[in-house]
Amino acid sequence: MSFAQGLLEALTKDLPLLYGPALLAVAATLMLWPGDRFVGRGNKKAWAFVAALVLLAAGALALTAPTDEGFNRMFRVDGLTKGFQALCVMGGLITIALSQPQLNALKEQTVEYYALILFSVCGMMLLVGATDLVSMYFSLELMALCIYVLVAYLRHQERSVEAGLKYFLLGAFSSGILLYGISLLFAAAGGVTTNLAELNGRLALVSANGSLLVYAGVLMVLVGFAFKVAAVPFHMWSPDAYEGAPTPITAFMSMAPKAAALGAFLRVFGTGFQGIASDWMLPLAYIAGASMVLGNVAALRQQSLKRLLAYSSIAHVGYMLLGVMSGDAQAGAQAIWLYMLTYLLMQSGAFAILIYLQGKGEGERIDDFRGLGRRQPVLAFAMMVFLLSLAGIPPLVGFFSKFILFKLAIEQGHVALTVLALLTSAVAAYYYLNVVAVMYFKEAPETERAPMGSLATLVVTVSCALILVGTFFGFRLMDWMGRIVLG
Amino acid sequence: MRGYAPILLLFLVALALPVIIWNLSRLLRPYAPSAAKASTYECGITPATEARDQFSVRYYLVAVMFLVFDVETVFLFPWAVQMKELALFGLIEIGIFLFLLLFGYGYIWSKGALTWE
Repeated sequence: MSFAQGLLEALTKDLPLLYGPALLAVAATLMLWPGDRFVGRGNKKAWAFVAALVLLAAGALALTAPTDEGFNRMFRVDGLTKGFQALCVMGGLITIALSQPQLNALKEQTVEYYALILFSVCGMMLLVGATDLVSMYFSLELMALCIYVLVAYLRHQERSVEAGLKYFLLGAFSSGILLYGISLLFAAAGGVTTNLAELNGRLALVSANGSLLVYAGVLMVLVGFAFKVAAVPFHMWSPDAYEGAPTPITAFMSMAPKAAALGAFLRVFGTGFQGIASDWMLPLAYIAGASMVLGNVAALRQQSLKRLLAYSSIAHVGYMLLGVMSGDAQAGAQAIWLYMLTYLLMQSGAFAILIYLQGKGEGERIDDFRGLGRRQPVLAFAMMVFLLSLAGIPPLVGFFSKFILFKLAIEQGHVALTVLALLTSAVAAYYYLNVVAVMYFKEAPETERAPMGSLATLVVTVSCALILVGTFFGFRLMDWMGRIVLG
Repeated sequence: MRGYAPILLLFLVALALPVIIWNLSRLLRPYAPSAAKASTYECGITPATEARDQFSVRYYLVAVMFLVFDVETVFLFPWAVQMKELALFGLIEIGIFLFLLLFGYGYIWSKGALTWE
């Protein structure tokens, strides 16, 4: 068999693993050119439906992909991959649904917006399956580059451009650190492999002489990842980027890339670098603890709901890092996946309501929620469900996901951190409940009532219904789902 | 760590050399400052504007496009070296690669990024 034949065979054998992401890349490319040539100026919003269909198809392809490893052990499809890929696709779909009203109001519908979302989700789907530091790095970049552009999408608004630039500069900087860390690990392991499994075996055997190199490398990779998931002290970009971005993109950033980056975090640290856990466990514990404290305390003082949700998402990442620290990688992955799923539901609902109240992109202050309980009781009730669930108040679904995560952390011996997590959750309850109090107990300003778009209504209804259903079935349902999906 | 001692020495020499030369020339030279001497190009044309200037964004578009097609040739090179071994499979693969870049080119063209007013 010739060399070329071997390549062809390997390619045809491995390609089914990538049908989902490949479909996204191809479809988005065709949408940009020549697809957009044939669509008139006023019909750009048709792309939203095309993009949603493509995402659905890609999600279906990804879920039915064979469970295997391929491309020279660079990509792997398993329960973890499929579970987090599903989350990313869901995040993308919700974002497209939420984008409709605001982009219509701003007259900013373009094909690029949707193509960039598709490219970004493609990067995420590759990221969660990457089992090699090189493939992981390039999919991380594919994901991030699209989001930099999306954050600066409203290019006539100064704050959108500013947010995009800030995010881009800090993101590029953190990518550099990550890449440097990867190169140090590559060198420390003898300069022969970047495959996670092989690297883990080799790094664990590195003599005391080279251990400084391993230590520095692992810390730099950790810093790179902490940047991407916005964990303290590498969170500085996130409130500004969240505030300046178009609100649907803020929702996107708090759902899909976070899920993908946490999936990769699990893959790299939870399973990959298990052999050198002593090197990164303590720094990660500090990062997690600092995220919980700073995220929640800083959220207390926010006037803008977007910033509040940004800081609270820092805190939620802090909780989820507890799952990464678990020695039992499978249980950790399940707990994080469940947490991310419920978080996605709550965030999408809260953002849908925020976007509705925002109208043309202004007015995201907590004060804008005054009297919502009287003005629109149903909407206010849904918002209350989302906020209480985010706060983790029983019997809502957010409580169960927190409980599973914290229980795992205690079982794994991270008692002090779990106590910190519980205490900071109590702090979090204050600012979430504050919004609820503003909705119900403050006088409403005189405003006319605009109709809510059907897609946004759908998002709110479905997320709210799922949270309430989850409430009644609680642990059993969540346990079952975690086991089915991540198997 | 012993192997790094020469590098440290080189580092120190590199640090010491400019310090010595600069201080030596300061001791030896005459001192007669004037405004003309302080200008940017002492013996050239008088500067008309600031050096910092805004460029049209089109320059960057062209530069980025140049980079893309430049990198494309970088990828063509290893294929050309291994063409015989890769046979027809390689030819088709590189064809797909070039074809994909064409899509980007078509996109740029249809957006009007190549028209220069």
